[in-house]
Amino acid sequence: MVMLTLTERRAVGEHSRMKNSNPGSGKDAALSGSKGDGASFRDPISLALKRLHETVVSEDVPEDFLNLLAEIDRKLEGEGRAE
Amino acid sequence: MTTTTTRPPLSAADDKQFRDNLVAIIPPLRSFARGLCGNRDLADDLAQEAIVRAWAARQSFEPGTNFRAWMFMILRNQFYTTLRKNSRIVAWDPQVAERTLVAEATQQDRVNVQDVAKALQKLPAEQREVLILVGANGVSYEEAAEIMGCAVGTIKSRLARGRVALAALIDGPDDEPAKPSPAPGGTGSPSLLLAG
Repeated sequence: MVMLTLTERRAVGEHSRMKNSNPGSGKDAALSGSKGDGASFRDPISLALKRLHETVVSEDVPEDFLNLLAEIDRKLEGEGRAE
Repeated sequence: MTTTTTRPPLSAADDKQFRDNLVAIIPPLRSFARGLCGNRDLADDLAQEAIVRAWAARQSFEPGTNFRAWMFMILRNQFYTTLRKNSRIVAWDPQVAERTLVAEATQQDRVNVQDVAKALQKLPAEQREVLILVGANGVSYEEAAEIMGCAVGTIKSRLARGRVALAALIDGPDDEPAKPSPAPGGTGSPSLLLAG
């Protein structure tokens, strides 16, 4: 059975932290307001909005989500599709 | 992004890739949901429902297109469907959201983040959504337009208006009561949590 390992659990959070720490990406350009909304990357509102997001994505993924993924894995296994 | 044409069944590799995409999208999906409804438990319920629906509809996702936008659209639709269908909904409790949203913030951040979290839930839904998507989640204007089903210019104007409104709310009286704001094309308030 393909289960969500502890490493994978950590990777769930790490993935988002990595995605949100790339200041050169186009998405971060949008975050920074550098594409024309007139906002400054370091203005308090932008920083607070980003902080809201980072607070949630840095949380441990609740058990319910892991159970959901395990259920998907069981379905894959039932179809002979698990690794 | 999606297609109505009949495609061959997904391969084992496709299913595995889709499952891995779901794993990776969980944190940003929870963040988007939390921003929409301002309540941790309801947000996680919405995110889980979106995952279930996405898995059931994985055949309709076109590999190589924007998975995050596809997932956010599913969650957004689920959010407004929940609002329309559930009569046991009460006004959002800003104190609950503040506790959950800023639990790990630093002392200096806490001042700004609390104010912004509180003010966000007083904004019209269309402005709050775009601030959460572009400002908090860091999606591009184009992706936000795709998720919200509107033009890029509309996203920019909503973002600009939202930022002005947010700043005004933050600078305004702190004890001003939260006012429910209408959902776009729907009924009831978007700043909600389930009662009981």
